[in-house]
Amino acid sequence: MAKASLNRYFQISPLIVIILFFILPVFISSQYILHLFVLAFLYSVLAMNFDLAYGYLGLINFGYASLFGVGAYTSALLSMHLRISPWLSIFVGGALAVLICIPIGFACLRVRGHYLAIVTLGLGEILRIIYSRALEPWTLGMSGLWGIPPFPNIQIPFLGTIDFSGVDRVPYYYLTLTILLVITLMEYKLVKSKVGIMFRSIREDEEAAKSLGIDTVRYKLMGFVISGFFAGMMGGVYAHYLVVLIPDLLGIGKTVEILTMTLIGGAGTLFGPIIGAFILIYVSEFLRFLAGLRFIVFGIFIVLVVIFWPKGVIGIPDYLRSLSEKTSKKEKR
Amino acid sequence: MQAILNGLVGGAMYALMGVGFTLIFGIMDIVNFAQGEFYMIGAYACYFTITLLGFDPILAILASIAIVFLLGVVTEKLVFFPLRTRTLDLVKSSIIVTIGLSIIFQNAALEIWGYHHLGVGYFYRGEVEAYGVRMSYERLLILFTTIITIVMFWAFLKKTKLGRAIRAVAQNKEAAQTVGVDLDKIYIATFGIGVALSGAAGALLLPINLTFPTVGLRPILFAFIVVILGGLGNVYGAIFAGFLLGLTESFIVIFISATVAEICFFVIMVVIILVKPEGLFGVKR
Repeated sequence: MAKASLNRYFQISPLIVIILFFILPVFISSQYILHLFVLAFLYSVLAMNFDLAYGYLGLINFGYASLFGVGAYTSALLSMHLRISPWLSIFVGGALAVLICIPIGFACLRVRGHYLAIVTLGLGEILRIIYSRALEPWTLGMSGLWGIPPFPNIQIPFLGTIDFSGVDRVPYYYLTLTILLVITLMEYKLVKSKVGIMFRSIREDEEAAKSLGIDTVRYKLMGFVISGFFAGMMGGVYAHYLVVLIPDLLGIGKTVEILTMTLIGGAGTLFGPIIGAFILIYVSEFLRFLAGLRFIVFGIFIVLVVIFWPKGVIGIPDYLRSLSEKTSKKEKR
Repeated sequence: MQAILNGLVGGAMYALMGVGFTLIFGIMDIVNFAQGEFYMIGAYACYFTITLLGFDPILAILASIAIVFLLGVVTEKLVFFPLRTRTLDLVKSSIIVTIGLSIIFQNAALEIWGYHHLGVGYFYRGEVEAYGVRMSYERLLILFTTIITIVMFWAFLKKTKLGRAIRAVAQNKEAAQTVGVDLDKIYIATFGIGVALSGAAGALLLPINLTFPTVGLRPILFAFIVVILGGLGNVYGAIFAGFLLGLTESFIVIFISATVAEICFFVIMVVIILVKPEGLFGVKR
């Protein structure tokens, strides 16, 4: 009886959480807190989408932030110079990220996993150099690109306009929350589908999957490219939200931040990284006084989580449940 | 000629980095993304033993190698020993753990020593001129010390008991264990030596490459290219590929530009993985 109601509780709770998030801005007047929420939503998408490749397929992509950065610069420059609507150009950014992913994936996914990690670290650095030096006339290099147009307003009949141009963060709160919900739903459907089962079988034992006739390279490329596309697209959203970009965005630092979120939340769960993103965004704000020491804390987190607690935060309820089951068994005896 | 000599000096560094990296991977199954940070620490150790303690350059280089070795031993004990006993997929988790370590080391260096570029200027002043080629004593010193280090390392692997044990572990862990090789000891020695080689590179190149907290990024990227050219886990391949890369780079930098060289190497790396993932000299297993 108790167990059934508990399961039902877990089924309903996501809906309640979503509704809570939708009415939350009514109670928050601080633009700063809202800004942190927008960032947390953005990074939630990034971390969850990183987890699609890392947690479900075991692919380590150290160039993840550079794909994000390529998407950001592409979308920003297209909207600045060619006056393409940001609603469209963010997808072009995603497409360019895919174009970069395909040759890299094609070469590195047919050999053992660590080749991908090695090559993508190089990729990130090369792209950072290209965007800060070779493309300097357009990206303005290290001095940063600014004057990126925000999202254009949306006219909704009878309800009025949603204004993205002002300092009000509420429209962006709903925009990023909606993006988070849509992408979460899509990737959740994907990992629950037959493809998701293939993904996990490849992660668990690639040789075995291959011997069962699964085209492992195709599935890995698929996960890698999907993850890359959304990274590039989110770059565009980020660019039109912050309206300023620097090439450091493409470096390994951002990837490590996203990796930390994924690991702390719990890799291979999609929802864990979302929790991880929220924890890290707010913890970093609290640790602001530590300045550079923050990154040492992140590094220590990464090392400790991988060695001692690979399940992350999302594994805590399971752990507690198994603890209570153990104690109840002991009591029965 | 000048290009060849400069290329040999650069190649010496890449060879040291690549050998350290590939040794650790071949023996321990650890992909050490923090290898560049040990280069950085070697360079800082050399800088401070010279400027603060007033050591002679050669003594300072030896001291830096010892410091990096000890740091490697401590890291192995504290991080990789617990990791090895707990993780299911050592290669994958080692990648994540070493990226974490590299972030820790980089930011610790930044906190302690700041973002200044530190260097010693000269080890020894003066230069020699022969056959129209000018070489400073320093570059000759770097070149010869690296070659001596590599030859000593080679002899160590071939001749000493520990070196033979390491090669045995590389070939077959279980078999080595049954004949009485203590794996934990081998791992500690391997990791210490592997990172000490990059520490040596960092210390040796201090007069040419100033040191700063993120100085390790370039050496690690070149180490990757070296090990992929030479074949992952192949120590001799790494030595050869290191010098090959140094020479090629030297020519591209002279005739085109440094950025082009970097992009070229990246493309070469991807192509090698695509057509011959076991490396230029590797045998398909």
